[in-house]
Amino acid sequence: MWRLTDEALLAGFSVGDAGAAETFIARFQSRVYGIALAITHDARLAEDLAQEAFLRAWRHAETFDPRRGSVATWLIVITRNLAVDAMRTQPRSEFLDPDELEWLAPPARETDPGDATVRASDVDWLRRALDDVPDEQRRAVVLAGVLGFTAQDVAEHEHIPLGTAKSRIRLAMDKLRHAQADAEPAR
Amino acid sequence: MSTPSCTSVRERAPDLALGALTGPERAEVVAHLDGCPSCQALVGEYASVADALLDLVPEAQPATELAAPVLAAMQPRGRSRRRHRVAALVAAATLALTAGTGLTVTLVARDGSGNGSTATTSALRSAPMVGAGDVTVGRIVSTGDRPLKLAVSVDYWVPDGHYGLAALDGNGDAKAVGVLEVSGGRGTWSGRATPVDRPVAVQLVDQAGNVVCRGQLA
Repeated sequence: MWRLTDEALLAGFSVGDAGAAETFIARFQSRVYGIALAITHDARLAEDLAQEAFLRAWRHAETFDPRRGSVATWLIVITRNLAVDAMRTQPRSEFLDPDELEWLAPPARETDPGDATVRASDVDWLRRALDDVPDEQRRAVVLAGVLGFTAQDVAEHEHIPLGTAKSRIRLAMDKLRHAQADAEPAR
Repeated sequence: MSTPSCTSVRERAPDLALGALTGPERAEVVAHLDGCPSCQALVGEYASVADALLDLVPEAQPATELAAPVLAAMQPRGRSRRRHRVAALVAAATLALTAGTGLTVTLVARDGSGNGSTATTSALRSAPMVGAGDVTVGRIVSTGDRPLKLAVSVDYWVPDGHYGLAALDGNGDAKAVGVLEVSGGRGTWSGRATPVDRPVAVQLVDQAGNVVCRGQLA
């Protein structure tokens, strides 16, 4: 099966080619919608935001810079920012609590070595590392990294000083960075 | 704007990677990164973690496919939504790319209902970007709008660097339309061919003025 690179598809999408647009959307819609849904917890709003994310990608394709990451990451960040902006109109209580995000749960540390079908996900190292990070740091980095909070937002949400919020984010990110480096040879 | 020290930038690198800096802070740190490879590398490591955090979020399927409403919203206001099977063939030709480039695929274009096999109607044109030895190194796609909109994609053979994009008119006169950066063997550029009303070809030109590859539109 022949397959266009993400960058080439984006180029076709940017000039309004219907085929490229449809393939681009089909390739990324489950990730885009998944992010919007995870942040808003509202299926209808998430669909609207996902559509808007694709339209922004179409209108602003020239802002994609491959040096700063993949097409997928660029698109996901557009979506996350849209969802976060949409949620800014909502009361703080409407935001998800990081402690309630089931998908952050660490994978089982022990797997049956006889079960060849059990394969580590690419981000299992991150789930494990997050499990090892102190609760308050994990909350801060998830709020910032997944739910798009600024340090000031984290401070207000957690009722802590801005400096403390920044420290928590940095400490957590530093631990995750080291965990990623340690996991690199195994991945 | 003063340039911050490496120590200051390294402290803020996690926040930069997470997008948690304010605009002025971000501008200050980015200005430093332009001239500091070691801080760039550190930010890259944090950015990799930030990307992984987003990868944790599970995928989900919307109740309805998103392509139809997005395609409908892409239609210019006031313009007829005429669709032609001929255009579908052009679109398919556009994206049935050669194996040698790694730009590969056959696309099936559909109408807004998701049932047909037609594509939007602008006078879409497509051509390979061909380098020395007739090697296909990428693709160019153009719309029939005025001024013409172009999308150039390169992902084979062209060395990393900055290249000028020149559009040629029917008389062979070349006008600069933009700069395409190739990084990691790939580069894309899209924009208007404003200086040339009806370009017949587009060329990628290196810093020394050599034509690296060319796409023939007419």
